[in-house]
Amino acid sequence: MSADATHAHDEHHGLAHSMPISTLLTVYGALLFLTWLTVSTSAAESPLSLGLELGSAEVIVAMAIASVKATLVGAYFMHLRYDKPLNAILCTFSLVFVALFIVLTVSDAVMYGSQIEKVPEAVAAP
Amino acid sequence: MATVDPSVETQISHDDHAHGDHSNYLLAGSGFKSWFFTLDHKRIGLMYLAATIGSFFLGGFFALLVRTELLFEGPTIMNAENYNRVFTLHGAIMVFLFIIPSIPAALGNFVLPIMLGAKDVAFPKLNLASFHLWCGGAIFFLMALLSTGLDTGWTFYTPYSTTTYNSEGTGAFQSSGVILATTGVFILGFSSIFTGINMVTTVHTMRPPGMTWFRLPLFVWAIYATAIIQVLATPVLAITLGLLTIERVVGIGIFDPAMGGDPVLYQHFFWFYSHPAVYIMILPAMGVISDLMSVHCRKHIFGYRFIAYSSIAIALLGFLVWGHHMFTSTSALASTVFSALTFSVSIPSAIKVFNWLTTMYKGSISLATPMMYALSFLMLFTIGGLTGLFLGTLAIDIHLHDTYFVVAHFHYVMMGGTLIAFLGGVYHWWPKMTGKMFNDRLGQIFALCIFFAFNLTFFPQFVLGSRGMPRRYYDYVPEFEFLHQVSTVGSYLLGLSLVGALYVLVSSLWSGKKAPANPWGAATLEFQCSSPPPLHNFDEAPTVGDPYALEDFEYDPETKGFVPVANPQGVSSH
Amino acid sequence: MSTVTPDEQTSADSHDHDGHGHHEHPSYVAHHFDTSQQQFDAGKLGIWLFLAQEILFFSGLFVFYVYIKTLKPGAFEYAHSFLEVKYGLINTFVLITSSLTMAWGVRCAQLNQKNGLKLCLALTLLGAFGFLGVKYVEYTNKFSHGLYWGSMYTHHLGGAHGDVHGASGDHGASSDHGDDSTHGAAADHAEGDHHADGEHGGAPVDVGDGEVAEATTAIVDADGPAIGGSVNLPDGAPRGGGPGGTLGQDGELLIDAEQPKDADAETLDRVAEAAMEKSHAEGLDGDHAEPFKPPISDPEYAAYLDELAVLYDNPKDAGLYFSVYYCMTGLHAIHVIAGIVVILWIFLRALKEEFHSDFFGPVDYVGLYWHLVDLVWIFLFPMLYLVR
Repeated sequence: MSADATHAHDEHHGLAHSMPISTLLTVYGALLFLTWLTVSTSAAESPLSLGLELGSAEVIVAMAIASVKATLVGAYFMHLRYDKPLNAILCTFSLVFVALFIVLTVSDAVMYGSQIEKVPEAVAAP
Repeated sequence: MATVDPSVETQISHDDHAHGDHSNYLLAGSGFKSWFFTLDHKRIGLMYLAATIGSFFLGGFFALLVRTELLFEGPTIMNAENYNRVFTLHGAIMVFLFIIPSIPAALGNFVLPIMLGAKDVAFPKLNLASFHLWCGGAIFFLMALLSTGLDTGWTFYTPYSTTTYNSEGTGAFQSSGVILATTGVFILGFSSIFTGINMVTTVHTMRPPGMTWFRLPLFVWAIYATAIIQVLATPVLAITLGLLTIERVVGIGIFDPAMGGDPVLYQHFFWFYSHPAVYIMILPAMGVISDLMSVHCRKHIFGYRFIAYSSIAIALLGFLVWGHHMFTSTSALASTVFSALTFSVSIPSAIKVFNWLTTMYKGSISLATPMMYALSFLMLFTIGGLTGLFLGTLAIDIHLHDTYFVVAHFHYVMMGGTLIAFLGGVYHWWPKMTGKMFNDRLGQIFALCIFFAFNLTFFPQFVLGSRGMPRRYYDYVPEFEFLHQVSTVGSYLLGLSLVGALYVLVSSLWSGKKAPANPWGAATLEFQCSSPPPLHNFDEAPTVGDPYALEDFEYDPETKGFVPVANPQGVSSH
Repeated sequence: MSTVTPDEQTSADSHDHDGHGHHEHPSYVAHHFDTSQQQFDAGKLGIWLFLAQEILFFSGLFVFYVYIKTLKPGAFEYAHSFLEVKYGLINTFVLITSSLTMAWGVRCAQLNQKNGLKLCLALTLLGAFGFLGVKYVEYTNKFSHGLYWGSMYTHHLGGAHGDVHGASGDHGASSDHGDDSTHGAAADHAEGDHHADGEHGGAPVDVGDGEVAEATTAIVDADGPAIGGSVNLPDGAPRGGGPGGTLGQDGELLIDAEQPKDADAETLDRVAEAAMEKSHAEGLDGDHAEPFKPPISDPEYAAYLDELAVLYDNPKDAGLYFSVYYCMTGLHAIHVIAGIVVILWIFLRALKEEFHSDFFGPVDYVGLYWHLVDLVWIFLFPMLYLVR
């Protein structure tokens, strides 16, 4: 089907930016490092665990690391950094709406939840 | 499908590239396959038009059943269980099968690419796939209708939708209507998403040189804003109904308090989609009206940029206000926040209304049928919008929540707004779609009938609601009987008028005069190509200019249409 | 959004825009596009819109997750401890690697490296299948311990505390031995059994396949005496059952009102009472099976989880966590399967050498989709496996 590919648009090289192998591998390395980091800082039991007790900060740390990883994948593997800004804006918009959805819904659920029944608090943590 | 032009009689093969008359898309192929598997956006638009109008009359039939049941106090023609099914089907069919695809998928598909000066939408196959998905969703709806019916209300609120069973069927699929209908809506949702993806991409990438953002007709802006909502909100409906279905089938517990879930969560999920969906319904209508106002007042649209930006503003603000559907179930703080946000949406809506009024000011208003609908829209939508402010006010809503006041309000917006604009748009573009002029006098008469019958039907419902008549009730106290009867009589007249309006259009296929290329004197590109348009929309590249430079067109008595003046102003200005 | 590219034009500038640009049209550019650049840009925007809707599609489940995390912290912590980090970690590694090979594949397509493209796509496919394989092992592992979603949650710590789990035990079991499509009927059947003769309540359980049998033996043993006496979770039975089930359940609900372990009464008093009863029951029946506990080695934390188990090891609470677990990973797995299908499609086209530097759009779009699948997992992994 594309055997005749040479007959037109010879000058038309590069419909989009192509990612150098070094960048790809660097990002890959960073992703693996961050994966190690998130496992080792979490309280969940695993051979990699550093045994930290981050307490309530654990969620924030884990989500922050996940967000950095997501940004790396988005910016480099998905070319967002080199694309038209529209795609990144689109992505941001959808994330903003997701955040809105989560925050408004759950904060409301917390507020009316307290009116309906007391959520039993678990036994105090050791 | 039903609108296949009867004049299409040429016997040719299905390959519309090899054969057929390329100067007229209606003649470019014939037979079922040339329609049902076409990639031509115009034919897909026409199929959507036929399909949505068909759904509208099905939903309308259920509406008349509801009104008939309410004609007298006590049981009239059906029992309470069937009443639940009938009003549910009325709502579900009207919302999911008619209103949501009506303007964006039917008119948008047909008109938008031509308005842009493009040969087709960006993804013709995806476009066809959305239509096929629509058909699939409709089939599921019909199955739900024919199996055990659906009696949860169109909103599928839990626990009605997860725990109630009626006496027919067996096993987990007892009352399978719910599962069939949610599957149908799930499929329809993806049909809507794909249409949205197509429209956004088309607007971004298919514009020819010279067609800048601010030369886009306002209808295109409106469809663009709508498409953004379709893409970003509809998936939430899909996941909601997906969760609802597995909740019902295997019991995951998310909406079931007995398992630690929360039925109010369902309302949040549902309205996170369905409130933006309200703007999927009304924004395209506003776009149609913006175009009709300018053309039929023979005056440049007033405040082009404000109307364009307000469409985008409505689309974005529409995501923030879903909680106003659930003032009686959310916490006090959330209700207050949502109430305040709700009022913010009225600002861009009002901007549009004022701009339309100002466009009419000192215009040369022609009362052609499309303009009759545009004027109806202006009045009915304003009533609908203003009563919406009552409902957005927290304290008043507690009184009016789930009453006929709400029913009247959203019928004024959805029917008085969207349906009327849809009719106006169909009349406006009918000559372009079919190449035939309808009987304008008859069209005007039915437009007027629809306006009066509509008010007769729904205005009494405002009164009923404010006096405390709850919605979805099978029966009522004797005090309400008179107003219900007025409303029911109005609904019969409304049904007849709508049939009349359809008759005017359909009869034009046989008896209508040949339509000129530009019957209304519009400056948008779709009126630069012939009526009906050629297969690839433009035989020669259109001249792109200001879409509202109406002074560049003058009436030509010979063709009974408008032709460009010798020295146009609009191309260079703006 | 509108202001982003106010003067953006299509890249058709260099080409005349007449109706039929067929003359200089390469075969890989669809007729309604003027240039391959326009086609590529349209496809790219289209796929990004699709990805945006995917993000919103998943959002509902994220709300579900945050809801449980916020409102049911105890049950979350207890049920979460059953997940084993190793599975999640392996899968994270697999997906990130397959993301790399996909991105590399796109690069190969852009640079006309046809063999490299084939290799990269093959490796990506391998990763996708590997991911599903690990998921299969993990799911099987969970199922074998009765760690189901919502109403079917049949895990229990003690060898015997049948009363709560009897009802749901039926369901979990029936879905095991029946296949999915006939699940409703199977549930009904189990329902019928259990109404017909109380002491037979747990019987359908061990019809299940091998893996299930071991874990559910305990239920059978425990339920034998218990089930006849009471089935008191209102949520257990009516799920998937018919009106018969509902009615029967109503009848039982009346009896249940007297049971101390009322599902809705969550005051500490009652819980303590229930715990006592549970240990009592265990004493009577003897411990037949080793209870399956979360794989935790830290004795202090394990003891704490035991305390939580008294409160939450029942469908009402722990089951809800597993609902969100199965919903999220299940939906993600469906996306992985869809990814396999489209990568396979691209792979076959790559074998025919259809892609080259002027036409690699489909590879890029499928790649973007695959990265999104990876992105979702990047969030799911810490949310489900790591965060307490």
